[in-house]
Amino acid sequence: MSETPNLPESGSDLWRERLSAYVDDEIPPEEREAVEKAVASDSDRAAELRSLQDLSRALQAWKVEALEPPGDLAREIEAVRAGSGPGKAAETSFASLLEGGRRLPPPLLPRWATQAAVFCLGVLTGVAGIAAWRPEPPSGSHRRIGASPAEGTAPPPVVNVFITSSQAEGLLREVAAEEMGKDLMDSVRAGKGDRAIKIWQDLLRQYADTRAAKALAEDRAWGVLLSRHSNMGGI
Amino acid sequence: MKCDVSQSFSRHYDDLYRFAFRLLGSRDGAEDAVQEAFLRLAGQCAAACEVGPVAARDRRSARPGHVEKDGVGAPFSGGEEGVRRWLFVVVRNLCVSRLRREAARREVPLDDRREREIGSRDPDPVQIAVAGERGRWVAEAVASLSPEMREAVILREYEGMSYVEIADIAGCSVGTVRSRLARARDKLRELLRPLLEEKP
Repeated sequence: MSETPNLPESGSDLWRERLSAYVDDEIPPEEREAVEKAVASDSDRAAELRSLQDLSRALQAWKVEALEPPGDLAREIEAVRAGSGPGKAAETSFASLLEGGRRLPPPLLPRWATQAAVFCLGVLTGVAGIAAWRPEPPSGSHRRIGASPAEGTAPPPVVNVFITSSQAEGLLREVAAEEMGKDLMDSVRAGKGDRAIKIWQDLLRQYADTRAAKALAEDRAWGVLLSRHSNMGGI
Repeated sequence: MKCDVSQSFSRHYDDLYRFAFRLLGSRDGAEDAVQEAFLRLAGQCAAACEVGPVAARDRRSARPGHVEKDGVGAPFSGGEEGVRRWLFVVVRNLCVSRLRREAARREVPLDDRREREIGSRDPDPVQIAVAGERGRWVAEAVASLSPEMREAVILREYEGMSYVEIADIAGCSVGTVRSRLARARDKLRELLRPLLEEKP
């Protein structure tokens, strides 16, 4: 086994790198020639080359079937693209994004969490009701100092309000969307256009069906502010 | 060149999805990344026509040299190939960010864990001979590579890209691509030894 001049030692990192580039046809002609000569005269180098070629073939066993692109994605793209037409206001595309048959956003919380939230809501309502209760003095008389509340009027009855888990989930979604809306407006006011747009994208992705998202879509003010920001080169 | 997002969508969706899927190993993640990339593309095209927030979004996300705002035309140089490269860059960046976030959430690094799982597996030639099993074996081996090595292998072996193209997408030099590919192949040969030693 003889070492070819000007060629890295067999088994070295440099040789492996060169051989790998050779397999990819990514080395200059003079190097290619040197590699071919070395492989022809050295069984170890030849075995290494075969192993790389085998690897390349073996890797092809991993097939990935492409999925049908989601139909609503094409509509979303069209909606965004349509916003570029001259004379069309940006909010037109916002509205189409909302109405364009978006994929249903993932549920904010799993079902068990929603049910837990409903339970907690009920408990909190009860606690708040008790905390807020103040006995009213009997009419026509003054309450005695030191008198216990029990001596006043009877506490108002606790009213249990039951809501379904889907109502609770809707409520939570509205709250979350409203928070994102506030965040968005703060970003607009602070001149952070990129952040505002990111929040808007997230809002659309997750809570497009909420009142807060719809209200923002109809609100031209923030769009205009952002456009100005954009024209100034801020975005 | 006229900016035609629909054409880009039909031409490149499959390749981008497969690339993202191989990088992430997740169908949902891949769909999200590709969807986001096309929405950004639509935004870029709209931005070239001087409109509001949705259109102008993410203008900064494109790498220098890939986007040129030339008025009415598309904001991409290099025609449809330029658009394709830009989409790959966006999908790649989204996937890498996701992988980093996921890795940060794990106590044991993803790469080490997968490598150990693969290394400890008892190779069964009969099972490996099954085509589906071979594919799974390869998928797991590729997934065990670092994101940088993984993307180089995927772009080269499955997308057939040149070193220059890979360097462009990965944001590194051609020399780095060459080195990453060589190291990745070393590791893959080790992990896939039973598969490589099997007679066809």
